[in-house]
Amino acid sequence: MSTHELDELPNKGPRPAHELEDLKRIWATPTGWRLPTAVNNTVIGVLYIGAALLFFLMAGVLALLMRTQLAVGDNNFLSQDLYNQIFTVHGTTMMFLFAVPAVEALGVMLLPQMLAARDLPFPRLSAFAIWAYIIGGLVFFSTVFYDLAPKGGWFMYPPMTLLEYSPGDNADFWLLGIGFIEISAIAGAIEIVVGVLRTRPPGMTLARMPIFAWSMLVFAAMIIFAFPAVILATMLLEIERAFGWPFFTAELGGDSLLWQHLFWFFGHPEVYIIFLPAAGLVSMMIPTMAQTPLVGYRLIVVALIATGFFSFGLWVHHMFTTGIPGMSLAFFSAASMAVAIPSGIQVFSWIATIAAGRKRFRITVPSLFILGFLFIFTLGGLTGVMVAIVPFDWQAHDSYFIVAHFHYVLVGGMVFPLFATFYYWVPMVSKKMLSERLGRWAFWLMFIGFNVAFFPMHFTGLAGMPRRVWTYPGNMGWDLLNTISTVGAFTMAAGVLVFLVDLAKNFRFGEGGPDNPWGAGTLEFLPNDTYSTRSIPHVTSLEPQWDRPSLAKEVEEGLHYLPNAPTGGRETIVTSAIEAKPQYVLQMPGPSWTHLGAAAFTAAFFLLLTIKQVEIAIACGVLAIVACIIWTWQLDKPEQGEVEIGHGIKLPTYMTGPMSHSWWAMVVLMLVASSLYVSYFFSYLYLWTVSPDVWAPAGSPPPPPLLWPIGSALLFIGGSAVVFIAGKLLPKPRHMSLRVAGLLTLGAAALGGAVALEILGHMSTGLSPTASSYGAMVYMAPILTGQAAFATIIMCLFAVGRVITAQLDAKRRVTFDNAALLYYYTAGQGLFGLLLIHGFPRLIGG
Amino acid sequence: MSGTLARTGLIVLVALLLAGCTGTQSVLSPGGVEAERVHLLFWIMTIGSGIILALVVVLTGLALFGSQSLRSRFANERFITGLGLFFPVVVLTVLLVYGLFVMRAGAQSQAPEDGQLRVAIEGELWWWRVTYLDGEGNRITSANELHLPVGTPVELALTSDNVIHSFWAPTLAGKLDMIPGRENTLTVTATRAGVTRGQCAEYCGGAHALMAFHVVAHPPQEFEAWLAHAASPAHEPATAQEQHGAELFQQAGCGSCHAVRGTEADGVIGPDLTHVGGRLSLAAATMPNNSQAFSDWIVNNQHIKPENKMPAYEIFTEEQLDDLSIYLDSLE
Amino acid sequence: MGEAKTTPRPIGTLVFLMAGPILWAAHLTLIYGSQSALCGFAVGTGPSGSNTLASASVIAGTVLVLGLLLALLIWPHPVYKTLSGAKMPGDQQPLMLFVMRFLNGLSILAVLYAGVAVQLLDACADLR
Repeated sequence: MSTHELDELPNKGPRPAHELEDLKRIWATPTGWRLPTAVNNTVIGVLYIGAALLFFLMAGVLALLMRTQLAVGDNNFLSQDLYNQIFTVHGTTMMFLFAVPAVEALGVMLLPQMLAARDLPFPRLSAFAIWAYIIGGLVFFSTVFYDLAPKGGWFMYPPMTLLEYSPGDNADFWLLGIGFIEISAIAGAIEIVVGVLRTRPPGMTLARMPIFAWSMLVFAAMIIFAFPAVILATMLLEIERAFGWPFFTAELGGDSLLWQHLFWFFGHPEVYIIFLPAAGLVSMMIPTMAQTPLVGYRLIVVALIATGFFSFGLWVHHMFTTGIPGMSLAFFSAASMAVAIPSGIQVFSWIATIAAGRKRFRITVPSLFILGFLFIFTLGGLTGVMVAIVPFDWQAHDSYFIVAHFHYVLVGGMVFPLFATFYYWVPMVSKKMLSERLGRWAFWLMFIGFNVAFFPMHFTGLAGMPRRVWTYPGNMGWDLLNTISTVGAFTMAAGVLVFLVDLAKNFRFGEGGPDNPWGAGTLEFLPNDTYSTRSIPHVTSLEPQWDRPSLAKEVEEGLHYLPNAPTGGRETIVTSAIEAKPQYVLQMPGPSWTHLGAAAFTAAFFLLLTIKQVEIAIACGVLAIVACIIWTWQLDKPEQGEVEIGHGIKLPTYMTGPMSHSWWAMVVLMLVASSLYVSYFFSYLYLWTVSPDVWAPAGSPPPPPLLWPIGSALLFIGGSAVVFIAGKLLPKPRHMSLRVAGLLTLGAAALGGAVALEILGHMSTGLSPTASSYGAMVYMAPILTGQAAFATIIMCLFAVGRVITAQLDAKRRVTFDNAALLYYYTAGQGLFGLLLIHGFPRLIGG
Repeated sequence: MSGTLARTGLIVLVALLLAGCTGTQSVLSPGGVEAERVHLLFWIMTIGSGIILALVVVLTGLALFGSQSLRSRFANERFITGLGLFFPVVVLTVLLVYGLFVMRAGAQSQAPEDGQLRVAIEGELWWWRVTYLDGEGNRITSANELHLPVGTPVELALTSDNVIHSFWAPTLAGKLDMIPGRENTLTVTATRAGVTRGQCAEYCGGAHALMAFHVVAHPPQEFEAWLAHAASPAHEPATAQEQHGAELFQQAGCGSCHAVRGTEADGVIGPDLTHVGGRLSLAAATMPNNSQAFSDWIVNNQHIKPENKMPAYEIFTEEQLDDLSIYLDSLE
Repeated sequence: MGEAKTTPRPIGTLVFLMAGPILWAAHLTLIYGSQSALCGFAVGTGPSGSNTLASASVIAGTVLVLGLLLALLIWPHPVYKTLSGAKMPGDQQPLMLFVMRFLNGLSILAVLYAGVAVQLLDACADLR
């Protein structure tokens, strides 16, 4: 099975007529009231982008309200309390409800098309994530209308956000609402990692992967490592607010800087999480407009990966004024310098590509937005280097200089490329292109408005105006600068309005737009329908459409891979991660109400918890789990025998073990869980270094006798052994096995017992989680493991159900494998926790 | 379009000059040792950034509109690595080392000897408690104003027992946070006499925007005189109005939150009022300081500075309010 | 399973590609962790905030990681074999080596940037 260079086409034509009809029928988008059940990436992708755009507009209106209030000094347009809510909701919405979802939406929307996959590997998971985000996001945003919005800033620093200084439910809306939306972002990230690595078309090796796919891969990997830190932080803060466990209260051994470490370990990579996909989009559009391959493709790949890494070494950058030792600051200043270099590489790659075309670079609306981006982002990058120099940051930090800087980076680095994207890729989902004339108006208004609004803010900040102030005295010399900024903000808003007019006039959802209006070389501009491309092309270069002008015709005639639907359902080709060799045909689920129900009930669970309706919340939580069970019960379809996809390649239709896409997803999920736990491990050690005086054995009851953790450890290990044995005893195909069912139930019980034993052990010593940060941290370990154990137990019982109904056997075993993987992980995490919680105090106690 | 841009640019530049030169809270008019070091650093970096930005704009312009032969010289990896890698590495290395030298210079102004003045500044909701600890171990409490002798390093001990605040007097030095459970020390040296302003720079909820203060840098001898006065008990009521005001102050229970040294009032919740009449402002640099401002504040403080911890006192008659304000204003 | 022997493990391949930045991350963890812990407990802190122990740990960490990065630069093929269990596929080799080496070079620079502070600053002084 070698990668054929394309001497002959994979399939022979003409294809039978029923193939196209089959594809159309199988991939049909549900209509009418069933439309919300759709899972097709082009449908939910548009929904996703639309929702993100809605949040952009709403948060933008909040920005205009703020600019109106600040237009002159001593203004009373907004009250102090309302302003504090508005700036919190503006920042939170732009970061969590607009920027990250928007780029993730572009991934959902564009990746399958760029990779010529029929859909992403877990269509219902992405639909679930999107619905959860829409419901949760709308409820969160609406709090601003009821005076219920959080007012702690998007960074929510304790102690200001502790119950004492922020009574009421406002802060809880942030913690639970945003925490929940982060989970949806992680679900999307898992989807994207597996999608990019495993659903590329045959022949698209890593070296031939479009830059956008590289950037989304880095994006998703960064989410996997960054978001768990802030999820842990929100958990700790919510637990302190609800139950008084003192993680952040200094008198009881907590430390408010712990929040800052965890928050910015997420918060700084977040900026690059937003920027990298946008840079990836720019790297796709520039070659098309220049009609020449990207100059320095491999340099850009390096730059994306390097940025992804180095951005994790910058978080203390936001803590330069907290008074930690100068050398610590220097380490992070150094990383800030290092991260500037890959951005420089990208900027000059784009300039080189612009210059490289035989004809001049075409000035279209996407080109204008890209050139605007280049200017704004470069300026933002330069001020970024300035604030990375520690002594200058002492002055600039938390002043309007920073407001200017990060709007240059974020609006320049993300919003301008996003608008370029709208104009460039709109024919994929619209029957009509957008207007070049209105687009130019939109661009110039936005570009001029943006610079007029934000450039003066550098000076406003240097003149001493701090951020997050609802008013300022009129005699400070800040009025004129602020008035100019307000005028600019409204100009920019006018540009966005022109864009909306353009959308209303020209955007018509549906297939049938021009196939390749810009003359691009990549696969997303092949003829497309709901099933993606008619056949999946064999890729031999970076710009397949340029190197093989007949490709579009061949693909449309079904002459490449999988021109039909051999399993009779939705399916796509799974290829190997590095070399993209075809491995198996993945059977995919179609439209459903189940994931929609799961999303609605999960959202209800979190939001009801926020307003302390615990009983109804738990009921919704149970319903969410039931919906998930029904949803997943329909997955893991039985094997359909081998099918031929072309070139005489016969592929299996079922896969287990390390080659299976679900195994990859589980591995990524375990990475998420372990980075959450590593954040916890850091927090434990961090609070110990801050407050060794409250740590056991000196400052708190010593840990229980070793018999307790040994018992717990035996249950973890024994349970894992039981599950392992169950895996060896799986029944023959289409048989049921009570023995395996019993073993799995036993394993689930052991896991629950292990966690319970650990909690009981500490209770027996009289250790209280509210008395000190030590106690809180000790109980937090089994809570985190209990969380993983809860999911594992449900998966084990799910597997019990499958094995009793003869849908789980020695061959069709993915359900079991997934449960077992998570089981081993949970047991491993539990054992590590025991070692830390029982070992560390004994170690320092001598 | 370019005309609009140029005109906007001009307006911005003029505004910058206005703000930069007259600003009492401006990074660009330094009056302290650290602020001066950062000021120089700022201009070096700004000029450098301007040159680099211009370079990028010109190169982009050439890439767009240059001749075929010029453009083809850009279209290779050597161009990218030269300008996108080696050039930034050189610039960033120099800048990083320069930044470290500026940081190192901060070490030399540290640690004044024993017996010298220290000032403890505590961030409150939403004002500043300022306590001078002189060489003889006296504690002199004041609020919302920092007085300094020009030319002498003064150690500021920055703390908070509520939420996080950040002490920022841009003319003296960069900001430093006040974090519950920690004490941060900032050593400042004023280099010119005069009054400047500072403000809380870390969002601290509620009235964060209205938490400012004044910095008064005195010539050394004037400072000694000021400190001696600050240490003295409050001015005795001299007129009947002042006397009446003082009685009202005690009767209304003001003393349970505020202290006036030399009287029964010894509260520690609100700012010390011993010499409140002599300060430059009221309510943490929110209002000017005169007797009218006192009466406005007493009646209307929740409107002037929403959510502040003092309740509005609407119990006084017009005449009582006048007397009370005159008394407070007399506490110079 | 005859084919599995010659097919490189994908996770090993990804780790190989990113070995430079991974070592950089290890370096930052090492030097920041040891320096701030030693300063936090004031172990060996002198009067002006100097701390020989902390400075030495930063130097040691930097030298160690630089050594590893250089080794990787010199011997990429054995490292690849160890990580992925196979020889580098011929058609992937140019991009893989380029990406690995370039990332490695950037990481060396970043490690040097972080390490240079120890030459100029006292380890535990707050410098304000």
